[in-house]
Amino acid sequence: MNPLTNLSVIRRLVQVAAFAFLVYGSVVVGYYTADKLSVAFPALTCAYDMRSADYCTLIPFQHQMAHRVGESISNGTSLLMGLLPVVTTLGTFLLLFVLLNKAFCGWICPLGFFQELLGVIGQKLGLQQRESLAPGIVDRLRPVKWLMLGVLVFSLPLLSGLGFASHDLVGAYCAICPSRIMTTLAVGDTSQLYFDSANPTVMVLSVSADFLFGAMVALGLTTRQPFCRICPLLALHAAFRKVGLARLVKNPSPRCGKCGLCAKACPMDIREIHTTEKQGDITFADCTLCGRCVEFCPDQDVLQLKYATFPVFSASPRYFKQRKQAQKRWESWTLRGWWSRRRSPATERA
Amino acid sequence: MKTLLAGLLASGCCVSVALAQPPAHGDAAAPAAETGQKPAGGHAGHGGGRRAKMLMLANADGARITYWKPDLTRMELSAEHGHLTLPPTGMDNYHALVVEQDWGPEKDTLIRYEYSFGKPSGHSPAELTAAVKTELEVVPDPIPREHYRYMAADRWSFLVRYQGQPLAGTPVLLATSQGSRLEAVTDAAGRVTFRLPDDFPEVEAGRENNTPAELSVTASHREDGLEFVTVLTAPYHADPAHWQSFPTGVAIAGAGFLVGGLVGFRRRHDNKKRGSA
Ligand code: SF4
Ligand code: SF4
Ligand code: SF4
Repeated sequence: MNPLTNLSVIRRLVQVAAFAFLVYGSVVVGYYTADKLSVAFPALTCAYDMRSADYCTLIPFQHQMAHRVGESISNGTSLLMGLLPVVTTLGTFLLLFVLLNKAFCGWICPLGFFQELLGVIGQKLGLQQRESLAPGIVDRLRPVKWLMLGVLVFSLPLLSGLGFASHDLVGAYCAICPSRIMTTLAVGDTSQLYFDSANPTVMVLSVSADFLFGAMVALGLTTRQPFCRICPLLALHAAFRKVGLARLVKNPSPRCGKCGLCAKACPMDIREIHTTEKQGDITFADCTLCGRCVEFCPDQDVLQLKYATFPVFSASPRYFKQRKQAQKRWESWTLRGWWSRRRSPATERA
Repeated sequence: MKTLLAGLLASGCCVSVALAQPPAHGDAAAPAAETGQKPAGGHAGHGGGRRAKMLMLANADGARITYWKPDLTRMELSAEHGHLTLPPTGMDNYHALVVEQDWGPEKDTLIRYEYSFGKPSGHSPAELTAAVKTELEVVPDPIPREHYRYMAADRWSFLVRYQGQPLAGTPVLLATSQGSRLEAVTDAAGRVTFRLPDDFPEVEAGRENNTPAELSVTASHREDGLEFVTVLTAPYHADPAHWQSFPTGVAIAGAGFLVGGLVGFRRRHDNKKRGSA
């Protein structure tokens, strides 16, 4: 299949461009562009990366919860004035979010791309890939993202601003965010991978961050999007997914019941794409609008990626056939296979 | 005490301005590990970046004091009894304080970039650093971005500009309030790079437990029989490497990698067993 008609290839190209811009962008557009851009990016692109061209919305949220909301309550000043910056940040986030909806995850997020890259590396190394997580694990993991958002992004910073929790929890989520470590390492800055011995709070936070990062890298080699499943931005997106213009649409067919290829293809293991009989927008809470389910749906127009009401990409038997072959070819080459092929003729010669 | 600079140096500190109030930050400001100094005994006070800031300015009688906002509009300020109040401008981002003292044959300038919080200015601080604010200037190149700051042991560059043009081959002195002195000469692009001295005499664990010190970057230039002396001052902070360990961080990430790998392996293994059952 012509790679330029392969949605996954197109998406990879977009991801590479977005990664370059969001991690190294200041090299091109200037060191200070982040000041002028949104500071409310709907994907994990990091403020700690001194080369980045914009950064994620979680950082202003945490600081505003602590320094504006928390402090306005504890100082007895107007709560409304404290909430105003939070509302402004949310507004800016929504302005951007409406454009691409959850596709910020599947197409733009540097950490999402990094995890996919780990998957590619794992597959090419010949490590056996995990097709889907067991439904039980998926169900247990799903609420974690809401906890991450509620506790680490909103509650702990707020408690810190109120004076009830350590000052070190102002940026509680950032303190454990793997994107902070990944993006800074990507620009050659090792200052964010550390064990902090200053006090018990930062000790726990730094150990959690480093451990989580290491575990994410290892899991990413065999399991699809391990961190995305508990990412607080996924939860924030989920809360507003109905306002976004990009969406996943289903026109259920009677054949769906026996198929389930879409759910197998889904990197977030959303089995409901297969089982739902709902007609219309089915953008699920965990969806990243990557479009893989559409690619691997063999039935005409049953799944579609739509922008507002316009279909952008629709399932079709022809595409499915070509895509499946392309996938087979792509997966057939691994370093391990290449190595054993290289060795066996040598053995035969000997 | 002929010059502004001399007078300032004579004040017992290498720098002329001293923050009378700890730096504070607001909403989109530094992350936890990067937060400003904690005011003694509490969490309140971080909104201080929105209020007027008081600076002490020595030996500046008769000096011209200009305060540049991020949008390059200016206001004239005056010091009273050595105290200078930087009014809140309602604008977010770096502002530039420029103190010019004309002694006749010598012209001294002191520049300090102060972050002030408010509504987004819509202007990049690159515009502020690029603007010609006085004849001879030491310009931070780059200026620390909002989630960063000058820290001991970090490398930072400065440009020396005369009338907006880079000055090559000019000696530059970096001095700190803790007594370190480094010298360098600007390259063809007028740039010098220093590794900031790691000279905090006693470092406590935790950033908020270390008061920032002051650094000054000084250059001079002679033109048409006039001597120009310029100094850029800024706070700098203790190197967190004193209480943060990179090797231990790597080891913990390694442990995470092993555990993650094991979990992945075990799940595959279970899967296979399930599959073969
Ligand atoms: S650490 Fe994570 S949450 Fe914080 S700014 Fe960086 S990417 Fe966003
Ligand atoms: S869910 Fe994944 S892709 Fe989306 S913001 Fe989080 S890390 Fe990025
Ligand atoms: S439901 Fe489809 S578009 Fe959404 S994450 Fe799964 S495969 Fe991607």
